[in-house]
Amino acid sequence: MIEKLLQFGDGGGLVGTMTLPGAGTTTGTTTPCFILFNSGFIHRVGPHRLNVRLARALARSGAPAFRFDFSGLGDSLRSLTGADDEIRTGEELAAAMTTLTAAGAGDRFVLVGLCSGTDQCLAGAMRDPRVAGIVLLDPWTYPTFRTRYNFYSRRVRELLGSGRLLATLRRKLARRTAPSGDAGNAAGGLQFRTQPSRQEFERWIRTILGKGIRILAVYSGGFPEDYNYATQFRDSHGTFDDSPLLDVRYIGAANHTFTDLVLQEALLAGIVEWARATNKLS
Amino acid sequence: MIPLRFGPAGRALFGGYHPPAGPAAKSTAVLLCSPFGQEALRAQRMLRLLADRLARNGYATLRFDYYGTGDSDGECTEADCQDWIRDIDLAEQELRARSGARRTAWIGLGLGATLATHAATVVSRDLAGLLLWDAIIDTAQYLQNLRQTHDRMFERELPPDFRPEHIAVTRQDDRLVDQLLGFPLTARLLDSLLDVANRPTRAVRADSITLLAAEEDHEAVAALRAWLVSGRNVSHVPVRRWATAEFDDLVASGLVYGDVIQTLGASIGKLP
Repeated sequence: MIEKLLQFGDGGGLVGTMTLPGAGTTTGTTTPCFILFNSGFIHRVGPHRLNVRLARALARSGAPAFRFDFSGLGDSLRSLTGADDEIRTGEELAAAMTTLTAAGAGDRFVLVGLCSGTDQCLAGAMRDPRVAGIVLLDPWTYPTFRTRYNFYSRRVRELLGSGRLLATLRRKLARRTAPSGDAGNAAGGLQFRTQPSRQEFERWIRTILGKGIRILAVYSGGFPEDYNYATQFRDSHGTFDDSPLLDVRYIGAANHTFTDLVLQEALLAGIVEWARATNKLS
Repeated sequence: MIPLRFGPAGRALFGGYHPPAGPAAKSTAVLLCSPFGQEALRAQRMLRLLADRLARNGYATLRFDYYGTGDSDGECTEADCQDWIRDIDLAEQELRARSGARRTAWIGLGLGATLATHAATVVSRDLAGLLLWDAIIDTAQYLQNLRQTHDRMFERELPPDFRPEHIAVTRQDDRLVDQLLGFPLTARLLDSLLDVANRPTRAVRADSITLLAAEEDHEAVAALRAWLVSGRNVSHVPVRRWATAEFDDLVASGLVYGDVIQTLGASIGKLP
């Protein structure tokens, strides 16, 4: 396995690390290169260094991988173009792909993103014909009635068990009746992304599958109010005609950034196994 | 900033070298020593901005990832504090070679401050200065803080019946004694943490030592002074505490303490 630093983009201001399979590892000519995105503000090594470990696990299976920092994150310079975020990240991703092709990593790509990184995966797959697959870790969620029922019945059981039900109800009631204008975003904290409507999200998924692009979506248990059972995606969005290109999984014991080491291993193994199955890796 | 990999093949370390801006490069270069694990991830952006500032002020600056951490070769399970102390020495050699600087000053944060202090006892040339922000010399307290943050994260993010048994990790890998905020704690690493934090240092080879710690942490500062058995010119500069408690918030990965960056820049500026 070989790791190389690459600088690219305007004035070489973007920084990434390419991981190539070592000598003796079989790499097919059609093996795509996996591109791993930033999650939130975390630099290219990923939460708990997940991107580094995933890139190396993929390389051991014969697939090249590349983790890089979008402008203004990690080691990359801030963009001075003033371009809209979506346009800017799209241009930077396109520049990464072109650089990787020139560096010998092929011309087909699988995009991997967690949380906000899934936005770039979806946008890249919609826009760029070089994208062969996307791995979405905790993409947008659309709760069903069963999601709400699961969440609130569990919450009531928890509060009954702890004897805090009445106090919690009183607190919620007081908050609801308080003459404050700041309650709207209380639960969500800092919001820096705009959620697409369910119809829009489904249109994207349908369009991406229609292009023959494979999708692996993995949901964690990190947002139990919004996603909390294994078949929720199907209940919420239908089957997309049972497309063999779509694989949706649920790891309910994991929090949003897959902090637990045992579950990190399960996640990495699952992605590598999906990569092997879909790309005929070694 | 010039991204680079240095050190022996198979054990290469990632470095970010910030050459001095402008014609008036200072004769002292600055080495930044990161904390460990989740703290290192959360400090990356701040150390990057600190390096940018120092470079603008004419100081060649190098930040780097220890072996088995960040973007460097290796796995965290393969390294311990002694390896990382040797990495600091290697990074200093790289910094001297690239910058041509006659002397170096080191800034360490958290565990990085502790490691830098030990590394500073075996350098071949005296450092111009050693700046330690919230150095860790109480391993039990350090691990307890991380453990509390770890537990709080799971408490906040997962319902009780979904929370994993964190200790189950030791059943998967017998080298591990625990996991803390997404990073493994091996028996080897734990032993070395106990050793470097609790063992008083030998003579630190630095013209001055600056302890950066919160005003209210006067007991910790006194303990640090005692730990630095034979440190010369030790002074205390009050700064905000490096807030481990905030690390369970994903947004905190962008945390930058601008006032502390300013203080560090000013402290480096006062070195001879």
